[in-house]
Amino acid sequence: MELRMEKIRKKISAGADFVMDIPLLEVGKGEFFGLVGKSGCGKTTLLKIIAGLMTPDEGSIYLQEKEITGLAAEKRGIAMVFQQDRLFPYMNILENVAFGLKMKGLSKKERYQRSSVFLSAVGLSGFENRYPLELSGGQRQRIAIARALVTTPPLVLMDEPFSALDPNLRKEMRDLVLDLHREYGMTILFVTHDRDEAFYLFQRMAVMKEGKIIETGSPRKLYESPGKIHTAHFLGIENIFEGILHYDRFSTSHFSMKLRALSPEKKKGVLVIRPETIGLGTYPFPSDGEGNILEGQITGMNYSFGILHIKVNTSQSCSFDLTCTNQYKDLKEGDRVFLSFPAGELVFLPEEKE
Amino acid sequence: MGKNKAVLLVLPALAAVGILFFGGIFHGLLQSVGLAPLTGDAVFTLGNYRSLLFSRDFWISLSITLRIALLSTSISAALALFGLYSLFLIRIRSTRDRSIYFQRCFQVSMLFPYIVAAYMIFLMFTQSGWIARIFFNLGIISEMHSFPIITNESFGWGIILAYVWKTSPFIIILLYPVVLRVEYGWIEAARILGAGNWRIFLEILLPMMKGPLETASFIVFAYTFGAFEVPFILGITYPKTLAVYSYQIYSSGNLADQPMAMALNMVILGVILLAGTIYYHTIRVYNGRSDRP
Amino acid sequence: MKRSLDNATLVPFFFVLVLAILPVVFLILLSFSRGWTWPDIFPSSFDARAWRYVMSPHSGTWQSIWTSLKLALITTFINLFLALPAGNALGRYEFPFRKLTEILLMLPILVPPVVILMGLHRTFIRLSITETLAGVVLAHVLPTLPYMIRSVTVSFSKLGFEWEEQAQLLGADWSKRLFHVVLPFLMPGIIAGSALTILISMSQYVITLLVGGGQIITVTMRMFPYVNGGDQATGAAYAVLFALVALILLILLDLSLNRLYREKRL
Repeated sequence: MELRMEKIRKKISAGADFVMDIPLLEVGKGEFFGLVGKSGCGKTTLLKIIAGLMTPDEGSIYLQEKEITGLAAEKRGIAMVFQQDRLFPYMNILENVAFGLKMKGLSKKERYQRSSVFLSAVGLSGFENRYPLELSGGQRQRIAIARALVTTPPLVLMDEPFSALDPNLRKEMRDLVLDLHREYGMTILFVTHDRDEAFYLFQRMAVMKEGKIIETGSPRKLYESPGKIHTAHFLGIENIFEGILHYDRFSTSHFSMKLRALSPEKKKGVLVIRPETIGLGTYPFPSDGEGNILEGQITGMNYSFGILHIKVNTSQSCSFDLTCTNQYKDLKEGDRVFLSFPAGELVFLPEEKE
Repeated sequence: MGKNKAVLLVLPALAAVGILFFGGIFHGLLQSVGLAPLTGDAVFTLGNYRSLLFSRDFWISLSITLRIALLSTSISAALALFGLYSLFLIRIRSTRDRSIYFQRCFQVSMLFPYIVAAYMIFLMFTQSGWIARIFFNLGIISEMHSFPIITNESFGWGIILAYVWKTSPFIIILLYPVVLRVEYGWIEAARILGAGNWRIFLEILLPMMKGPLETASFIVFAYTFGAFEVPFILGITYPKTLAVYSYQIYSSGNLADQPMAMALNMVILGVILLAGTIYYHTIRVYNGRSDRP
Repeated sequence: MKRSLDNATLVPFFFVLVLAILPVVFLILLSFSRGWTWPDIFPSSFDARAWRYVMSPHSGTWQSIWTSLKLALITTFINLFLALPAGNALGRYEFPFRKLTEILLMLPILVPPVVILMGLHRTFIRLSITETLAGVVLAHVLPTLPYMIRSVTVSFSKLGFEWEEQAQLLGADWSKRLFHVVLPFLMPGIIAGSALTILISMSQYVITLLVGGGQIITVTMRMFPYVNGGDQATGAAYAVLFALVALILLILLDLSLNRLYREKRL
């Protein structure tokens, strides 16, 4: 394991008071690992603890199997890219990038040589003698990335590095980071609250809530079979309904459906329905044997990037979000439609005990 | 319109400085070369300067004045930098910045005039002074006379001490805003990149302080080179610093000697001007590249 | 490890801080001392003899405090009168030779005033302003004006024009803009400049002596014979008194001007 954190506890009192509590977090060598969650959930604090900018109240941190818990930030050799570029304004670009190497005591020649390599890796060769304030926000963030990578650190921490950038720039920057990761194979721990970014970048990620990691897994696995309601919420699934599972039927006050899940006794919980798994038709479906069909009326439609986002109110006055490719060109608001719910895609989550 | 208005706005201040400052220099210069005699005809002469040039007392006086000014400035600047580094450490120690209170403590000497600074140094450092008493009671010295002579001696240590006490807070005041301007973000970024507190101070704060430090040091140098009060109290009758030398000639009551005092004043001005030129050129050359926002 | 390195700096720092403040404690002790002989670190007994003398009417102390205050305040007003327009131009306008003007106005900082005033002395005599308050005020303007200009220039450059334009668009006429927008912005600079002016003016000895000809007696003049070889306790009492007067003046200045404008703003 490249990074291991054990039994980390830290009292946080910024805005909301809570205790960060991480029993175990492991990130493998070369992994592109994400920490996701809403703002204020403690992800930046966790990053700062790893970096050494904050000390945990309890617990230990291991980097490459060596304990670094008590080590000062400047001795850890971990790199970090922040939300703001944090370039030193009175140093030119080359001096900024070479700063970490200077701290390591490398000769000027060697520093500048290696810095040029990374400047060209982020596509900014020729900017050596410029100053940060002469560059655009995107260029500055590229320099900040080059500055973090130039010391070839075992672990790179990224704290929402692109959230202050223009949306158009973000995709470009994400591709850049993916390329750099592919080329240099360093371990990256990346914090974001943006789920698009999470899907795009991470091999594995941990979902955080109020200082705790509630679930870990690949973005795809977490999306398709979330284990926690919060994960489903965070990943943008809006169709979450409270109800009771009895044998293989899930019932709410508005509808009931057949699931693959089975519970001999009545069990409270929620049903999570991903919007793209819902089938849509303009006439009653031929029975598929499961009978998970509801009738409703379209109350809202949005179109983006070839995908239709449709809101349907079923007759039982309850609303579903669904997405489909653009095959139903003729549908419009107010149309009556039928929804089908394949039992294999329905996820039941039993009630969580606080 | 804006331009003319601006010129009108600075005019009163320029006139005041022009009449008082440049008028004073000009009139002093005229007197020093015999063009503004109290009685008789104006005859241009460099006699006063010539006699200074051949006066051993003048050269000794010039050299001790220079030595005092340079030593006071360097010690004061070094002490101020040490204080600023400490203030920086205090500032980053906790999330509540307490450095301002310590900075205020340093300023206590600003409340006292230079003559009091000189007086204090005299009381603390004479052979029967407070420090000597403490040393005696600690057993470091066995009698009053084994305490080194620091005040009213020919090297000027007492004068230097008084200047350091008064001027290092002045340098700190001028540079302290730099300590406040350093963002926590930069400090964190530098720390992640492997810089400890000392390196952060060296690599980030010091380059930002360089300009104001040079300016502050130059002001301190100019002041300590030409000021009168402290060497008057802590100095000795021979050799004197230039300002004391000049003032005593001027106020001796012999009007015929006054042009000589003016010539001495012009030498003081000349040295400050020379130092200013050197200062201006070095920062020009030095900051040609890094004098950026 | 890191902490101990920091402490290696901070412990000497506190030591230096104590050294900076210690002389003041010593002065206070001395001003109350009686019979402080070698090698005692503390006076053997205390009394208020020196203070009684300093405060007594025949010592002339109160008269000299009043003179110092008059001088400092008149100098401050003249400085403000000259520096506010100049600071406005330097801080907010672009005009030919702006940089040069700024340097010219700063130059008096660099030359000890006594050097300049010896040159002006004869002119002052001819104008019969030596031995008058007016002459000494002029002498005090010389070393203080640059500090005032510097302070208000910084404030004016922070003010810019945007706020006034905004206020104008919101319907404020020039007087309202001056009182509600401009002055609150300038107040920190005015306070800083005035504080420096007061401190420097009160501290002057030799130029007050030269121009005032011994007729204008400030606190500094009054204490000089005592600190230059006179009675030590009296000298110490004068020094402490000076610092107290200066401190009270600065606190009053800060409170009154700040209070005035903070109330208006809220």
